[in-house]
Amino acid sequence: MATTAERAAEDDATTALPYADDGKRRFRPTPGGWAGRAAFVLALALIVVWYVTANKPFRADELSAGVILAIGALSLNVLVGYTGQISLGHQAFIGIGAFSAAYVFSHNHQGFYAGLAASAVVGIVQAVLLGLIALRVRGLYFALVTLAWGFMAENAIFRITSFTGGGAGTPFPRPSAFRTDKTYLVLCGIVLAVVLLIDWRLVATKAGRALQALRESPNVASSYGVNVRGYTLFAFGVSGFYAGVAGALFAARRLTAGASDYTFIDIALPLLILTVVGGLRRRGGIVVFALLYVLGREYLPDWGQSISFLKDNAIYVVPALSGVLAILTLIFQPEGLGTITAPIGRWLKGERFELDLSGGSGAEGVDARP
Amino acid sequence: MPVLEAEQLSIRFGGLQALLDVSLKVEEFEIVGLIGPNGAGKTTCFNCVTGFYRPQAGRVLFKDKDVSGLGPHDRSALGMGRTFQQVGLVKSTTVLDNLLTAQHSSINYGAVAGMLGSPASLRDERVLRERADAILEILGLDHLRDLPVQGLSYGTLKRVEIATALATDPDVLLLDEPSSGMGPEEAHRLGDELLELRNLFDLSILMIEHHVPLVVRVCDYVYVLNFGRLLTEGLPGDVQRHPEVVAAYLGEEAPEAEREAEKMEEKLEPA
Repeated sequence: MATTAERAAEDDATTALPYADDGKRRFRPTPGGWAGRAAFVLALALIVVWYVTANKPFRADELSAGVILAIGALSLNVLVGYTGQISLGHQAFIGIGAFSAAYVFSHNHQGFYAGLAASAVVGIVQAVLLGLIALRVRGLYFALVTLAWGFMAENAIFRITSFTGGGAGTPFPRPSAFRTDKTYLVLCGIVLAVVLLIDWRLVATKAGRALQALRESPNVASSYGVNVRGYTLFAFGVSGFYAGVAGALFAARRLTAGASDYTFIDIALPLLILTVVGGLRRRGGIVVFALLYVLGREYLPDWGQSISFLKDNAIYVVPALSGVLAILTLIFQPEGLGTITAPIGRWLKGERFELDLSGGSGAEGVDARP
Repeated sequence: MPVLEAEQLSIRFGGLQALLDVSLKVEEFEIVGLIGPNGAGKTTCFNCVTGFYRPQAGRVLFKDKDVSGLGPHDRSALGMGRTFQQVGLVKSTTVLDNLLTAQHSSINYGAVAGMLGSPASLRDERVLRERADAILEILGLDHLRDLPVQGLSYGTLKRVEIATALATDPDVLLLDEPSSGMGPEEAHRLGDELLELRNLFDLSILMIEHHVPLVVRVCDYVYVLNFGRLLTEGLPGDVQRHPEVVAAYLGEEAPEAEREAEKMEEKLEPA
């Protein structure tokens, strides 16, 4: 290729068309700009440290639920955001991971980490099987398949006593080093960081570009040499992997995997809302909104109690608010919270801060606008 | 020895015989034109050759290998680069990203290795960028590098598409109406460019083209399709004067074209 480039340079005079150089220079922040960025990160870190260590009603358990939800939403994001296939049955993805982990613990007397590995593997397998169906039906029809798969898992698979322990559930302990709520939050945070890293590299490399191309046009993707079937299954595998891991963490957080935990209402619906409001293909937005969501779930009902007309219905504040948020997002900002978090991310990397509130071309996968 | 050879391709869509016994050859380093009125089956022929359609009969030989059973991505990986009549680009992203995606087959690291951030993947990503930059520079498109594809003009998109097809590292480039959306001057410049690219990248080219001056100037050999059949083939100058070609294009009453003549009248040039 070097020789081609050299020859190209020689032939430049004849082949290059005379376009004017628009003189666009790459923006670099000043030292003061970098200091501002560092201060921003530091302030965020301080807020987190203050929140976790401050001596007030802080429930690490709720926050780890948020972190686990974030991992689950990132799993859904791979399907909805990267492949453009809508999954309405993600409680199956998460639940199967959880029960596989618990099964390995209770039947084979293995520890947490073996359970985590098992949930990842089983998560991948069930997702790839569903992916084989996704190769045959698309769009609304596939969404219905996932809905059926979710309800089948919820109402049949999760009730097989020999697999899940039925109503009582199957115990699945936390690893010995992370037994308390605060240390378990640290473990969840580490796993989330790993998932975020993987997801970042996924998007930045071969597979991410292949998925982007095939989401938009399978024909263009294959003309670029992308194996459309292969990469669709690959994406399902990745989604199943994240979901399996989230399932194991979910079970260990509750110390047990119970059939009633993994329902459409408790898992699939919140994950969908997190992905939509957080922003499709917006890792940062999804994670931030997952945390805001559980904090809201934690504090809003208390706050609602103090308001006279909400007093008796305070528990409905969060579901109502998330529904409204999802609808507003779909109408006005298809990129969700990512509209704000993505510019902040770019700014931190040393670019200009450019906020685009025009609504963008973001959510073509599930764009609800006409 | 031909680098690309289609043997007696036939394909039928319902009641329409889109192609019947179409055979064509592209020799190494040759630029071959495929012309014919609209609806003659040119793009269908491209789709059969590149694997997007499975012909009901016939086979495709590429670099001495029967590729009839391979999917489009495998043929792309073997060295068939193609463009589409309706611009085939990933529109939601930038020009550069398209050129990176197009290099899919020449990436050495695996998808999982890339996800796990293997050192090889980080190194390779830099090489991909350099290669993309080199191609953009050759085509004089480097000023568009970081622009989103959406919003570029049609003529520019056709050129960006040629750049992405080159990024797939092809031995044969199949261009579907590369000059559409370009004015006569731009089309003339495109002709120079194609001849130049053939030398730079050691390419053979098979192109569907309506712009006759361009075909006559750059093509070494021309096939004419009409109603899914090969009407004639030969040197561009000879084909241009062939009575049946004239009839097919102009709707004159040549003996075999009599019945179809009526339908063809409006199909001289694409809108």
